[in-house]
Amino acid sequence: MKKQLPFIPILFNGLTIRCVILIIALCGLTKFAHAEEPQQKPGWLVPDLAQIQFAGNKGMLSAYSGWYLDENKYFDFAVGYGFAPASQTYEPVHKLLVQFSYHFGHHQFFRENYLKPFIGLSGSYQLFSSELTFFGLPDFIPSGYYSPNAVRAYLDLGLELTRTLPDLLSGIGIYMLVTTNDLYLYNALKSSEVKFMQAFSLGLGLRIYFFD
Amino acid sequence: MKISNVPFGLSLTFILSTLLLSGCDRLFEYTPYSASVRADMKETRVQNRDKISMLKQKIGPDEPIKFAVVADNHGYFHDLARAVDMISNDSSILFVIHAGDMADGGFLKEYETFHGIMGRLQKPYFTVIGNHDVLVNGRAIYKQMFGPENYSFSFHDIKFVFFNNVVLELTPELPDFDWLGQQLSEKEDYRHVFVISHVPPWDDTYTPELSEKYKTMMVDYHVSLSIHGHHHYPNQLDEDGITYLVGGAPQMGVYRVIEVDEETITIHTNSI
Repeated sequence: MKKQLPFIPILFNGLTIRCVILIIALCGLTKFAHAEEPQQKPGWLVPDLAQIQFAGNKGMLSAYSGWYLDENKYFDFAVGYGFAPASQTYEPVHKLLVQFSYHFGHHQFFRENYLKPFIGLSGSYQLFSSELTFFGLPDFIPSGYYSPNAVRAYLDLGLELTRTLPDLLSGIGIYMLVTTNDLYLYNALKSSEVKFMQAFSLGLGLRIYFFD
Repeated sequence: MKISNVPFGLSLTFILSTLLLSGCDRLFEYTPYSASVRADMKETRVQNRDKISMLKQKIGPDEPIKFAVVADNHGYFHDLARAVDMISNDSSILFVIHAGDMADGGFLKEYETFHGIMGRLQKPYFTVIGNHDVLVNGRAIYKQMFGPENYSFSFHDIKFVFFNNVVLELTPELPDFDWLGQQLSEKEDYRHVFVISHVPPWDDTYTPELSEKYKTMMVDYHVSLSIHGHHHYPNQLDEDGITYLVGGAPQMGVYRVIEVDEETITIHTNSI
């Protein structure tokens, strides 16, 4: 029996939190290093935003760096890393993540606050897994015997509350999302024994926008 | 911040739809790759053994018994559920054997769905691990949910031996034939011995040597019936006095019922 650690110490413990701090710090340093030119992004490689998320199928905690894909900031792309400790998932889970988001509504209220519903498409790749979690089949299994099972696609539907912070950052947002993935959707559509609602779960997150 | 030209009404509809979906069963889920089995789904086999013990008190050692065999439902859970409902309504069937591949990809969600459906049986059930069940973290899930992969139980003087014989996916690990031999060596104490293993010995994933080894053990220990899954079409092979039975998948519209009398074993094929 594996020891079940309390929730809060895990959330603020070890590798996960260090990765999150590192990503945000790197992005933040880049921003403040150019504080005299707050509207000017120093280079296209520098992320426009950082994101951390709790749950939502991407790991217990996942952290991302993101870039806008259009001038209006409706579309963005992010890469990230998700982690769940063995105490929560029996075997530790490491994920490489990519995410496309479309914030299709920017509805302003109370001056600097915006309500931004969004749709996201994400993908994950399992890192450091056993031979039976694979993208390409192991040598001992004949070609075509199984489909790749180390990659998953996710559909996210969410709502973000963003506040602009012109003197400090471009903005900060908190969001809630409802997510599902290809496996759960397929099973829900294939079998009436799997209820549609069982395919969905929740995630919570924070977004920090560095540049206007 | 640019103002969207999407009408607020459209956004509101989206928001309400999202909130509706947020009423999902499991509030927060970390990953579909989790192998952490819920406490109420752990060690199911212990409960099923208890149910068998109670049944043994009701059914005398000389009375005939019936048990059902299902296998290979994979993701076809509605077909499994139909079979389970039919078996539940047949009071003459005492318990159920699942001959493997209860999950399609070895994911926890699939195991949980299987567990939920089988829980409707109100009869004990016993499983053997299949090749699809071992994928991803399936082996860890199986062990938590059911127990060891190799095990046995008896019903009066009938012994049921469950044997993990998945070869291909567990390379280079080989089936534990020493354990099987040890279990079968107690044959004298039993009127019948049934061996349940997922892969039939004539399957392509078996080498000729392994196939021969398995068949020889069945013959040497006078096994009454060798029960399998893996091939979804119901099938039966009689060789050297041993009957090898492939249960057939519920999505093929069948399940089997085995009737064991004092000396005879009768195999029925029931349509779903």
